[in-house]
Amino acid sequence: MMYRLAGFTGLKAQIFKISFMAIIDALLIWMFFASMAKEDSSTLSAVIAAIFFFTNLIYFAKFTLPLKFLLPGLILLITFVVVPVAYTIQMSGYVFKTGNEISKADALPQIEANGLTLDDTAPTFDLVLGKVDGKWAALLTSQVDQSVLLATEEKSVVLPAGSYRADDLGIARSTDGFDPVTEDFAANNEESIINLRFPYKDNSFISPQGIDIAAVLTQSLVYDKERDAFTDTASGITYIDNGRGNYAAESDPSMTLTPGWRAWNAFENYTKLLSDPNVRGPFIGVFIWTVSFALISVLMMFAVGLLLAVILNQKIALRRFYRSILILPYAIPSFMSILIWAGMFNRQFGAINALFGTEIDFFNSPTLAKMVILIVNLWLGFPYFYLISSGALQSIPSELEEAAAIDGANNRQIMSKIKLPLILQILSPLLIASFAFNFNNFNIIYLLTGGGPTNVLQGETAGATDILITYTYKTAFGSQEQNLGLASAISMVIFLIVGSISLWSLRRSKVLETM
Amino acid sequence: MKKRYGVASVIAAAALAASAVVGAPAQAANRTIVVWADEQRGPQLQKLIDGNTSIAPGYKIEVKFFSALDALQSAWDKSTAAGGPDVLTGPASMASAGAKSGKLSRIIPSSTLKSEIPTAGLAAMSYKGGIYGVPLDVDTTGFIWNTGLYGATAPATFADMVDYYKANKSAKGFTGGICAFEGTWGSHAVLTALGGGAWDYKGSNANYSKVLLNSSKFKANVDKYLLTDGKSNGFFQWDGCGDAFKAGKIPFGITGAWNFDGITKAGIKYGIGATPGLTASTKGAQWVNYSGAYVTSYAKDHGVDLGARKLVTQWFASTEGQLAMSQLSKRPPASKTATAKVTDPQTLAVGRAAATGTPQVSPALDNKTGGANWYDVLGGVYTDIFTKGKSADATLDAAAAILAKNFANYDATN
Repeated sequence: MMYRLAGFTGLKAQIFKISFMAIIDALLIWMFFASMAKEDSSTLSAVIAAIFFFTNLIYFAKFTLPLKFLLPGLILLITFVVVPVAYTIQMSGYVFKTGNEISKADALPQIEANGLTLDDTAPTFDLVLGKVDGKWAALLTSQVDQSVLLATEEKSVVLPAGSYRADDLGIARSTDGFDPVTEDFAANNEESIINLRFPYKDNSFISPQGIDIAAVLTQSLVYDKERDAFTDTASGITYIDNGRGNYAAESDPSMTLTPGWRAWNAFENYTKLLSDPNVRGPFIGVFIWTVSFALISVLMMFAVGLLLAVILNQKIALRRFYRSILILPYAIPSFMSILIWAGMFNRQFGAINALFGTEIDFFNSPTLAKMVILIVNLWLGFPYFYLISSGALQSIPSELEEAAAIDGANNRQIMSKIKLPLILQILSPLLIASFAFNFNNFNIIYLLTGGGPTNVLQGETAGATDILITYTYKTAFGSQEQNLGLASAISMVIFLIVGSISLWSLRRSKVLETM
Repeated sequence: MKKRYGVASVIAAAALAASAVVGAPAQAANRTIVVWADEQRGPQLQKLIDGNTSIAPGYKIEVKFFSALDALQSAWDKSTAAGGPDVLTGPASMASAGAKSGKLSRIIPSSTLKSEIPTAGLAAMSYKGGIYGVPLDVDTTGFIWNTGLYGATAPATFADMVDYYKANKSAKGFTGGICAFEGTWGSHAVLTALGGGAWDYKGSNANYSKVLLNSSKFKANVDKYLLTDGKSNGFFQWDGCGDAFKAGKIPFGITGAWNFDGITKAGIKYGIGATPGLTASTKGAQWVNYSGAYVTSYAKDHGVDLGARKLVTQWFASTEGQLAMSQLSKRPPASKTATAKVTDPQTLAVGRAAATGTPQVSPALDNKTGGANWYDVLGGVYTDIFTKGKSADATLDAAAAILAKNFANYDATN
């Protein structure tokens, strides 16, 4: 243990450990109950419970010594990597989009509420809530003719004039046997009030629409629990669960009731990626550009970084100064650099057009926009590659270079036959990591071009510079119509692609074997 | 021994945690109506109703606002019952999306409320026959002109503006003639002034089967007023041109009340009116939309549904509430009685301009059946014609083909 290593042992150490664990446990227990109190939080609660269990097991058992050091990292890995991935996998199996967001249990009462029709021929009523014989009742004053009803859940009776007491506005406030409740009391009992239905005429009823107003409604959509179906009493149309998060008309499945719900349909989003031309078309184009962008970016950054490293590895004048300023692009926050570059490439007032006296519209040409992105990404990324290449160059023993020179190799041969292979072996993991980073380089695309240009008039739905991650973002959040299920499926595809390429590359470079 | 310490630790922890857990039900019992708003309406509502306990007795109102409308929209999109609002305020487009997703509750308007709010206002809050909010104020734009440059009298016709721009472009260093501050949305008055627009009207009824964007009249006027030899003459600006207007480099503009303060602070004196049309008696018609207040379905989960309904239907929709909001926001109120009581000259001027506007039917404009919605299509049109110099006729025809599918789908499903 760390405290033992530091000479912190004995009773003090035990008290410290127990106190520390008590605080951690208190925090976890509090988080567990807080998460349990929220909807749709079973996964979160389970994760917190698991962390609680394993933390206590590991820190109070003897056989888990190595895990004591790994546990904080493991918890962070599980919380921020494993759980989000698992959640994304889960969501990719749902029909989860605008109109299909809430649970079926939440959707049902709302569909029923949407099936309430206001009776336009009936008046609205000023409402005074109260009790008759201990049960909910209402004193209702018509806003049309000021006639007054005393309603209970069993019946509604018209009160003759003089049998009730009204206020200055003519609204009935009390009558014999009616015990009005205060607004505070009503507010604290609203769960029972919102479901009150006072009988009116035929199939219609009076329903509170606030604490002091009520309206006459009819239920035009009736739910049949046994059949799990709604019937429109006016048209006779029956709506059944279509298995995709909506009640759809039996006679015409395109007619659906709103709202829908988040429905499990394991492969629908994945099938859509392959079969729906509106999704498949842009997806393939975006995928090709994503791979190209990541590959070209890494190669360019590596080439420029290595070149500068080689040059500055020589003893030249002002070497320290050059080394310092080369780090500057790396030191400035990337989002600031990207926004500055975006301004510089602006057609009307950008520095680049002003410098050359041109009006080139960099961001409305697919080719130019891609070039701009690669240039800016090169600017942002080459200092990193310069740094790691410098390090790698300096780590190569000078004896190798001297031996090669003695054997008659020239500088070009020394570089290409000796140094470059060694550098590549050293830097392979970083090159692969950089490829994976650029594969998901959301910031540069979103801040520089927003994924555009998009030629919507030619039917394009994805921008020319959209990469998979920005396309996913647009699919999930980019418009009024959001499709989180489909976005999750695309995220899974990205995850599999990046994971596979990284694993394959690492194996090819045999880095894992030497680690 | 160790195990005993472990048990002791867990017991101690449970005792600590229990004190926090016990506090939770007390919070749940607090009947607080949480109102969400954007960065403009939020501070205004905080002044007016935050902490209020008398509008809906038994409930306390708490106003929470976001840094921008986008941030509000984003938070609303991601909201669940756990942290979502009870009352939401925002543009009318939230009504259809919220109704479709089940996040908004339907409102049954009283006959008084129905008579107070214009039909177009209630229509803007509707989805599939149900009403999901009450209109707060009119979201629209007015035509403004720089009186320091053009003079106190408004241009009578569109041609007057173009002629003035061409005559003074070099001398006064104009970078544009008219600026639609709010991009494609704000540019609608320019389209309609030239005989274009989204859809046609038969009397007061929208005719969605006829797209006006590629009408022969509009094509001819685009060529006549906005192009020279098929290329942009620089008169029409729609992308980030607001600063140029504030710098006196664009003499005419189309914008809403939310920008008036900034323009005044920039030292620009301006007049407000309706966008000049092809003749002195015709005017361009801008989109007229409404902002709304909505009761969310979360209110029921939070046990404040009735209070939220009262707040929305009896304060937000009331003359008193709408006037109070209008005085702070300078936007014309939605209620008829409140409108009649407005005295602020800027609000009145925008209100008069709005009278010539076109109801903004958000579900039709947001429809993407043809591949892209109205706003994205229009952005593509402007870029192709005015930036890339592509054929206006072919571009407008391509755009109209997409829009025809969008509007037909909207018409068929509503």
